[in-house]
Amino acid sequence: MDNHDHRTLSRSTFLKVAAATTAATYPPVLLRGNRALAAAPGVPMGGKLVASVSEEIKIVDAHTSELLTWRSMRENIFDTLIYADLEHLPISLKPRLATAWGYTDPTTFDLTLRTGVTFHDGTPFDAEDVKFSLDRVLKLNGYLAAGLGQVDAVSVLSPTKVRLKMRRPWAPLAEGLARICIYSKHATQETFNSKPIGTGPFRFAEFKPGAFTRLQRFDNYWERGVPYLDEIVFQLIPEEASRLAALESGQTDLLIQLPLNDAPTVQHNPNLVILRNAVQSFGDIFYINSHRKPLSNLYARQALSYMIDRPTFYKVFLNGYGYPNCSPFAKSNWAYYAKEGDISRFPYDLTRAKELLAKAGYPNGKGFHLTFSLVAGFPEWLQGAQMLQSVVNHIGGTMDILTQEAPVWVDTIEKTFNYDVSFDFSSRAASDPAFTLADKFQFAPDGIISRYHNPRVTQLLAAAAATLDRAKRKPLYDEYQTIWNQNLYGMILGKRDIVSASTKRVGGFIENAEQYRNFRYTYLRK
Amino acid sequence: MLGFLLRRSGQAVITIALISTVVFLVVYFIPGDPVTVILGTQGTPQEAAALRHEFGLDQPIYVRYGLWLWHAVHLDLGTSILFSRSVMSVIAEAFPVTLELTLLSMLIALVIAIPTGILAGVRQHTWVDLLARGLAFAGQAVPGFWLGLLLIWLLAVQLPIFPTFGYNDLSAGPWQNLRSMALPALTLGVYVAAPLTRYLRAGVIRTLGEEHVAVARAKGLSARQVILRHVVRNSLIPFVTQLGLQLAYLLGGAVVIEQVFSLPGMGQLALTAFRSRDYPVVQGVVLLVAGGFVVLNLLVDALYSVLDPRIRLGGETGS
Repeated sequence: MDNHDHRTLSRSTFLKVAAATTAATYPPVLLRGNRALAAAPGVPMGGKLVASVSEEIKIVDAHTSELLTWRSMRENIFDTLIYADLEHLPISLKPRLATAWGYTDPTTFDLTLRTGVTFHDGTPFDAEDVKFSLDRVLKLNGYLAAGLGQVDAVSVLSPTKVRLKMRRPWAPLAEGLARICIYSKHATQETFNSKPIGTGPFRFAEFKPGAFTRLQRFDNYWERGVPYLDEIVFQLIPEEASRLAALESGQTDLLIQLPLNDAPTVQHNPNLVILRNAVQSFGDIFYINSHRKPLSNLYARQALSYMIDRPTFYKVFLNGYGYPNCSPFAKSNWAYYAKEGDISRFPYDLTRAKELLAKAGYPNGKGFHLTFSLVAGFPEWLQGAQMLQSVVNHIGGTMDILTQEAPVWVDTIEKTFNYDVSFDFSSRAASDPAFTLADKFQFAPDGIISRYHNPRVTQLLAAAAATLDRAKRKPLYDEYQTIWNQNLYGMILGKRDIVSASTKRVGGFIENAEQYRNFRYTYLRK
Repeated sequence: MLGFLLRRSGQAVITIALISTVVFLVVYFIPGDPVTVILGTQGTPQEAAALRHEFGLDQPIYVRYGLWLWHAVHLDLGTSILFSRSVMSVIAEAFPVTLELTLLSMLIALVIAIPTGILAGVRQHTWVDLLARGLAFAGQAVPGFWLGLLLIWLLAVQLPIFPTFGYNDLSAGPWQNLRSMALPALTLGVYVAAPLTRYLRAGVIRTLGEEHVAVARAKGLSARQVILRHVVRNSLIPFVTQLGLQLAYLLGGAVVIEQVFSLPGMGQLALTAFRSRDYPVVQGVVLLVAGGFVVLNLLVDALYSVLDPRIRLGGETGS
């Protein structure tokens, strides 16, 4: 399956490229977080920030769960070795628990660890904790293990040095490490399930089911001078109207993940602020069931892509917080291929759609029927589905919309496959391209959700991930995007903003493209 | 009396056992499980299998039910998959919130319903009756979540008198506690008062037409004495029945109101547990609610014989 030829890359060339890559992703922005900036004049210390969330807060294992609400908490309870800064452009990798990293040869990756770090329980951090955490991730063999790619051994060289050995070169390893929270080697099942202990700027203080989670400042955090806040309370308010009312009344300071169709209400309130990400990494995707009619037919899939009015979806249903495109990658991603990604690749064109449907065996749309499965709780998706339904009806076909609660929807998508089209978020569009859509389309030869198998795509993605030279990776991803749009096993609508809202008291908060909200530099104005 | 209690206790045990079995089967057969909720679409099959094994979800249904039943009989309702704590402790945190909301709502409902229902019945077909019936219909017709949001907007945002969300328990002080419960209790109280008003009104109208009331008037008793001594008490049977039903319903958790006001009560807990397929918590909540219904029905039946001495426990009327 992997046709990459390692003999074409000499060791000296490899190391030069590795050094250049590390420098390119390790720009001199360390000023953020040093004593000088953290103690900047005018930044008030202290205070309790109350942030509302709409999903039940679950304290879960940071090595197994990527639940969105949990991400905002774990980002502040734990540190990772490397930090993927998805708050600023250009996207960069920054030191956290690791202060330096790089390849010593194509399959060996070394990390130098920060000293003077302690866990919230007072125990010191060292290389054994890193080995414990990475070994655990490899053993669990889940979503995060995919980020470690070809790593099959983690060894401790000294209390401050760790070595990762790979079966084959793995280009996105540094970014893969950026997702893995470091637990203490003394962690118990209770630590993983309900009482998380990390090295992050906030310690876990209290969890009341159905109510809130409270984090307290960790005074011995390794980055001196931060965090500024004394406490963060993640308050559960399930009803969106109540969340907005709480923000307007000042009872909460931050409304995490504002529904985009509520954005105009906040925009027109002079006392509130919209917090919009600078980097777009989330998007909207159609899952396509290409294992049954009608979408087992390529012409039918292409016809569907011309039926989607992408610009209207983002302009009207998301209030302009996003943009349409046809590539799995965001425009800011170096792997983005404009020829395939631009909206001109699949304009809204019903004439073309009808022609393709006729070729697929559905002249004038007769007999073309779709079942659209939708997870409840996302009104813009329902609106998008209804828009598509009216188009399908217009060209002579029919479409049913099934709104399902989340566990039932997951079952439909992954087990019963009793659907033709479904909406979901796509993530990591701004990340290393090896990770974009990886969890849904690349996990196995038959991807978990798409269930497609394209040997050339598998070959391209494996080769691109094993190539450190970005100039050599780019054409591989260009071809991948071309094949993606030729086959349409998934249908990209575009990329959307992640938006929160706050009162004017809140400063220093920047929305994160992947919802790993960082409160280290957040403060409350007096 | 003892026979009555023993008979009803036996019925209660069978009822609760049947309900818990049905709920267990229903939740088991619904698509999705807690692992689906935790991992979403990002878990690998290996991760999912490992978690299912950890939670005991890979065991046959009869093994899972048998184990649960055995532990339940020993008052161990298991561990919440979602919260990693004992089900008893999770319910013990949520129940007092719902209990307080129930009691406050019922107090508000009774304060509204009793005088309104009596006045409407006594002044039938007057503007008082019309107004009372109109308010009762409005109280039942207006959706609770709409009324709740309206009260939040008016009395928490525009006039910041009350908090918009959350629950302060008594450790925060009685005044803060009452402030946090005022709007939800009022929302629920108005809703519960509506049918209570109508039932009491109907009972008063029926009783006013009875012979003993005519005799009381003929004996020269004042209108006030006739109503309070002879009419109200005899009108209470259907009212008390409805009161018992409403109380039992509220103790199960007013899901919508708890959602709107973000109260961490039984309703919110049940909804979250069901959505997350947290089977042990679902079973625990069902057991508690079913038990509550049975006990309240028993109390209401016992109260009948106090209100009407002609009624003997067991359903027979005295001669």
